[in-house]
Amino acid sequence: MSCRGRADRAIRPLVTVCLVLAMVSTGQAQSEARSVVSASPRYLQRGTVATVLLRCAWLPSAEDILFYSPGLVCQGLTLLEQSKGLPPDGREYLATIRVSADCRIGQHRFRIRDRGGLSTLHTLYVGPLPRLAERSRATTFEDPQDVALNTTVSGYISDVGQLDWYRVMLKKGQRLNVDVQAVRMAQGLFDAHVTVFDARARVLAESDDTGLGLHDPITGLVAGTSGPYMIAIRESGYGNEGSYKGPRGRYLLHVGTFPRPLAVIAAGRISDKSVRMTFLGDPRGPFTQLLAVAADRNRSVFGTTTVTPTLGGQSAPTPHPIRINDLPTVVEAEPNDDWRKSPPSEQTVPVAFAGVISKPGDVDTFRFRAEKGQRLKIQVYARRLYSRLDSVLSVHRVRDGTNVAGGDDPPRRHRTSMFAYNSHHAGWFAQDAYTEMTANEEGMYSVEVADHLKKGGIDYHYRIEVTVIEPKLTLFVRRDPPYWRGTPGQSVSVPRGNRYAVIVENLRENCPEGPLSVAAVGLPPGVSLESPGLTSRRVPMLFTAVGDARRTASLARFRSSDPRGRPLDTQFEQSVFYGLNPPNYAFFGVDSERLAVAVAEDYPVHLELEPLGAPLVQEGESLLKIRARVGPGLRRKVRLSMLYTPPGISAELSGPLSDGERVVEMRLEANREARPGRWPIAVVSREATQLRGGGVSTQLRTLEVLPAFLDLVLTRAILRRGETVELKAQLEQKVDFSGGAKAELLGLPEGVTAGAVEIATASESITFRVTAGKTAPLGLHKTLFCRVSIPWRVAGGRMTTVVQRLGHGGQLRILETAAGPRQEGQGP
Amino acid sequence: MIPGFVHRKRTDCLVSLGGLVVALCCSTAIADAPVIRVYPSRVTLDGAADRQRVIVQSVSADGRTRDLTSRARLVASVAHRVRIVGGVLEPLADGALDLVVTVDGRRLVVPVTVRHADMTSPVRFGLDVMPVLTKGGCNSGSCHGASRGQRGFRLSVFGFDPAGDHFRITREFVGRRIDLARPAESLLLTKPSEQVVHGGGQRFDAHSEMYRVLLKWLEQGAPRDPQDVSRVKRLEVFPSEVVLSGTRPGEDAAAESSHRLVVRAHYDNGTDRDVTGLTVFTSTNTASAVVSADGVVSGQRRGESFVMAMFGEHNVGLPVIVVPGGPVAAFPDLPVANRVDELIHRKLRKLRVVPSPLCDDSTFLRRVYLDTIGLLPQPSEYDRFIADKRTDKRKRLVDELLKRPEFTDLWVMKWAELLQVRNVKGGFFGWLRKRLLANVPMDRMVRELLTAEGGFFRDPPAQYFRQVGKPKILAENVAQVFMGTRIQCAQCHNHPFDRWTMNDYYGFAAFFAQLGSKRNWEDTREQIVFNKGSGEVRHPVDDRVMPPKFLGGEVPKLGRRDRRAVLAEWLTADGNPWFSRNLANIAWAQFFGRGIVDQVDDVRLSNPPSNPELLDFLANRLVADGYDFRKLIRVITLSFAYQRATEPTASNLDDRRNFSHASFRRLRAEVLHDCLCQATGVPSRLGGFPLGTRAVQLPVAAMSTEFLDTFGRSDRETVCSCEVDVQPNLSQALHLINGATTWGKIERGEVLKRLMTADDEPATVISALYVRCLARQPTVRERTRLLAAVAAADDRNEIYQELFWALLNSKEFLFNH
Repeated sequence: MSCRGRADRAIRPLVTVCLVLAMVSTGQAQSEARSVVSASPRYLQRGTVATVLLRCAWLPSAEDILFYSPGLVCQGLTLLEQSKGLPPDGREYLATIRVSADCRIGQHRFRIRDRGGLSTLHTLYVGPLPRLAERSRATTFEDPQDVALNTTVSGYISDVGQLDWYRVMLKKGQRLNVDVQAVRMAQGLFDAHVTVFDARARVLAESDDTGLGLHDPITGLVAGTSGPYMIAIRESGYGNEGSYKGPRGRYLLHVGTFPRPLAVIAAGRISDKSVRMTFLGDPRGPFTQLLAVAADRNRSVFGTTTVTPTLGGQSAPTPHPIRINDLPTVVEAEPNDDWRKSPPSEQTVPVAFAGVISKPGDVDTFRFRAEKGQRLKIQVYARRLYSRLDSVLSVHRVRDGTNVAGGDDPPRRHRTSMFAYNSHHAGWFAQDAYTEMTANEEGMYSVEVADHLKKGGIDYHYRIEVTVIEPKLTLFVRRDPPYWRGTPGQSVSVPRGNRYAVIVENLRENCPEGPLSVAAVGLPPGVSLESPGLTSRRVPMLFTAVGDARRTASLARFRSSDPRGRPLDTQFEQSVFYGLNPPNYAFFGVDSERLAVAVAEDYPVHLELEPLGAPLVQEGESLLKIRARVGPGLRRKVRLSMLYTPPGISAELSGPLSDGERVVEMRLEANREARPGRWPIAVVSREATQLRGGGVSTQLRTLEVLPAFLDLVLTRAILRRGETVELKAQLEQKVDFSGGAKAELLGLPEGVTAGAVEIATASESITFRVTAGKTAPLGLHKTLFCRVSIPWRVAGGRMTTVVQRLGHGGQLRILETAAGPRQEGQGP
Repeated sequence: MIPGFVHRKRTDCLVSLGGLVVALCCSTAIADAPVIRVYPSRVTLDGAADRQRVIVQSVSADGRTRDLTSRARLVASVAHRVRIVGGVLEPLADGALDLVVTVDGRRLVVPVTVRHADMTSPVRFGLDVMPVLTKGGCNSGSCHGASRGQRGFRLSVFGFDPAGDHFRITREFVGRRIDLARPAESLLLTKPSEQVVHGGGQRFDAHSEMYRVLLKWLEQGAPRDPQDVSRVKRLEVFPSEVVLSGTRPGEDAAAESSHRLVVRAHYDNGTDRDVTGLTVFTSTNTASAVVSADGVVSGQRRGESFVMAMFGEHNVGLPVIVVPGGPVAAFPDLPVANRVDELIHRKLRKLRVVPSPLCDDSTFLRRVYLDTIGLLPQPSEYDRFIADKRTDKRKRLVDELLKRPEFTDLWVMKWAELLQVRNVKGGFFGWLRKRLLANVPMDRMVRELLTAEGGFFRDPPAQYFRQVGKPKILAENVAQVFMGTRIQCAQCHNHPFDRWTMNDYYGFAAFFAQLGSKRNWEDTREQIVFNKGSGEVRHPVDDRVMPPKFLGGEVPKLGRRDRRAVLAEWLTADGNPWFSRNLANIAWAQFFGRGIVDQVDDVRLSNPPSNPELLDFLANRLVADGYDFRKLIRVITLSFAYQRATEPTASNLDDRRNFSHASFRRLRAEVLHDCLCQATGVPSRLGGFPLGTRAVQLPVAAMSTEFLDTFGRSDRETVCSCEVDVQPNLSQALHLINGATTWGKIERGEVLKRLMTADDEPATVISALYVRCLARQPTVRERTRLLAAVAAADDRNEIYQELFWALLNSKEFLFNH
């Protein structure tokens, strides 16, 4: 296989993704998701009131903007007249947004709340610098755009091979920092590259990928002479690898004399009044600041938040992610390279250590005291904090030097569970070392951290957390495929007086066996959550809004407890991905630890699922009855389907429903592998596509799945037209049932009949009498099977009938009638 | 001059040539007494079966050699200790003696030692039988060495698996191939000697040494070799040099045009043995020299050949020069610019080849521009150089060009090809460029490359190891790129034309066995490579773990070090001739169109350097200059050898290997493209790269430019130097004539408009176009005819356009000369 072939195959899906994204961006999306297509400008300055143009799809009646973090307030939302170039369901709104002076620097997530529900998630970026729009055609060295220092330019690389040129004037000795946001704009893979030239076009500094900036460049210099300096921005591959046209070619260029450290080490904990942060990598050297960190402010799924350094009244334009919690934190004190001589410490578990692998070959060690029998997990936060460190851990017992644990990349079980839900997190997680240990004696232990490739530098910072292994429950709302379409399905919009169901997936770590109960906190008034006990990885949850609930939206958290009612460490995770790389790994993501829930306007479909009759057995079938009321005003036909089907069970989609009230039947079929248990199910309407996130649900009902009652094997039979033969079936009865069961032979060819047969208790075989008519089709027929109806008493004493379909593949060969006496002249 | 060139009169050249001719005519033949040599200079006969052929050679003052063996009289000083039969010494009794050789009235003495004269040593399978199978061609790829063998009998090709061959001869089809009760009846003997029908014909007769060896082995019971059997350490071939007189077709080789060769094997137990009879001889150039199966080489046409002698898995070579017969004219006393010229003249003197004179200034200017920076001289640069009357102006020009960034661009492109830099992402190309711009010594750069660790994007040189997990491919690439030798053959069998065995191959691959990789899950396009410290390469024949072994070197002590670092240190050590010679050869080939070893990445015993002393000199110079490529290129370009004209002399007409004249070289695709853009003043838009990006600056391998594809741009899929195709073909001509590139650029460009605005005088415009395209003035004939054409034209612009087009389509434009 040639390299070219490989590259082509690798790129092709990416290109496809890009093309589709471009379609979305130009409003040609086939999806009917309520979505924010673009926001312009994406950058807002702190302490200003900005007007932002929001291009939306399927949001005809937007009412408000739900921001995920404080500092931004929507003061007005005006629908613009239908403008040219928008699809029929496209709308443009002008939003007036006030940004407070102390608003956090960084990405701010929001959804638009329409009368019909919530939109997809989008972001605005808040920074400290005034914004300057890019001048068009400043694409040559000779004709650059002049930019004042301490400005943020929003630029756009529209063509392959394009370079955007900027000119700043510096005085000798003045510091120039350049921080370009492209991938970190939460827009897709635009891999920017920046070069700084002097007036004679000599390269003074350049940058492509960085630690703090991920794929974004960050660089700087101290002016050697007074005069103009040129900054060129381009796509690092000149656009040759994948298209980045459209919004993905946009970037923010922060240029000025602001502080630009590359790493931060936090020395305190949340419960401290303020935390001592040491910022490293700024050209002016390291500096320390005391910064307050709110206990529960803007935490990401990794429990990280962001901090922004301020120096000389100037804030850095982009923040640093930090991990901070209530663990006492020990900051490294060199020399600490040898674990045998690592600085003494009496820290007991839990404890955190922080430091930096400051030079190639550097090793840092710390000591902690553990109790006998403690089960500990030791994990590094480095890549998750935008550090360059690819960490390796080693733990020694100080007393005798025994190596008790060690780890490089986290075990596959962690990664795979993460991949299923949060691919970009899985990526960052995948190189942060993780290990577990059990302290088999009380005493001092030493933990050692180094870089896998023995590299080091100012931005190889880390935080190690040594904690006792505790039960933990992580919840996810599953993304609806295809993933590149963003967030539909990841928020909840409950029509007033109606229900809305979502599938919640969960990851149990060290949780006790048994159902875990989950509750939501912070739902909009009038909305309640019905959650069955979590027993499997996928569980439906039902949100119900009362009829007079006010249309509003909020961000809900979850709490959970184990079967004995003890609260569990519960985390909700939700991610939105940008710049997906096949197979479905992201370059950047925005995440949330809260679920957006809104109350929407009334919806003209109401569904009730009637109580389930008989249990469903393996190789069995059952019927659901749904009472549906469909009002007028829907653009699409209503169809009903299962919210999800338990493993091994299939259900058909209902036919289209017309206006009015009716009872709809849906057949459930279980295969041989259907997993026995009690499964909460719901039926939902699918009048819009899945992606729209619309639709309503029935209430939850419990479907009981039982092991097969019978095993049956059909024998084969041969008969001539007009004959009657006996066809035997071997039986194996797996449960005791009280007689009265009836077996029918189905799948017979036309003209062939067989009567139903009673199955006696403990009977090991039954016999069907099969009769072939004169016109029965000749040949071998392999379509025979049995349907067995078994009377069954369910809990409560009610009698019902369990149906099983068995003996698939039974064969019947039909021959011509017996030949008469041979006539003269006929052949043999 | 090749047909189709724009006609040109070279008065300067004629003047130089005239001087040379005078010098030649004045010289006279020199006839001094020849030197007589006897080979080998010392003989040890060990064991009753040992034999040693002695040859006597004379070397005349003109360098020719003659085989005097048949005329020489050989007498042993102690007659009972050896027997001399037809020039071959056979042991009789232990002791020392002198072999007295008398020829043409001269007397020479060769000391001879006889040991174990009464001891008969057994025939060994690996040491004796396997060479017979190889010499007989039995295990060649077209016979039983084929992967499926012949008629059910399979041997390992070229004998890479002696144990397997022993099994197949003695155990497979028991009783069929060998008959130990009646050894002479064995098919192993009756087939090749064609006593029974043999599809492969008669390979040897029943009286040959080969037959005797096989018979004796069978009579011994066809034993397997013991573990402690001595092994061949090296081969040597006598005499050390052969310069023959050529013969005309149809003539028998005269005494002075043929020479007997003797091959001696040295064993690791200190003994040696004459293995001429079991050696396979081949000639690399049968037009000049042929060699018989028993090792007699005969001169044919004037030229050079390399005679290969293969015994078992060992190869050794001998250069053979064939000069014209008859009296020899004295070689002229040629001026030299530096040591390069001295070494080239030394070789040419042997060949009786007189080099061409130096080229004129304009030719040199264009040539050195194209070779050094891949661009044409600008008209202003042309004017300045031509007007410069200083004697050292060529030197000054070279110094100036070596400092230009375009010089770096050209070499970045070449290294990008060798290192298969296929895309711009990840910065491998940028890393190369920065290194070369900073003039980082090549040895340091290669060490950084070979020991690279990290992610492909953040540690660009790590991209070199994108074949991680395939140590064999990495070993092949490193050998080919940095040592200039191709070891691929030895993956499956011992190299038939080189020294490499499968042990060498897998031992070398073991240096890359511990390279690990993991995916960067943050960016799944990226792999992270690192030394994982474990992992081995196994020999495919017997599955044994192969310890890392330097190619052609020893097994190093590794400790816990990264094997690649150990390899890189060995490779770039000053004493390692492979690396420096290879780099020197690559540099040389850029300026002469062919390497001293050609192809540059095909160094092998059977493809020796055309001038080993020159290659050694350049390699040593490179090492002495701290692997500074610019300094080496300065030496090369300032040599007179580089500055010679393309017009051949009577004696160097056929010379293609010895740099006696400059050669016509079609410009490689990128350079031609850039020159076209430069001449017309219209840059091309290449892929997504900024306008003005030159083709030599393209970091990516895949470019869908029709022009570059047509002219053979490398797509960097392999490390082979053959990926760059500079062979002219019809589609190239058609592309230039009919394609939009040339005419389109002429029309879009403003060259003519500017020229006509500045000075509409036809002679000036014509002259300017010639200088712009060909870096020379038109000849008188060209000028006259063109002026007439302009005067007759209604539209001057049109005639100028056509002239411009014709110049850009001329072979003179397409070629460097």
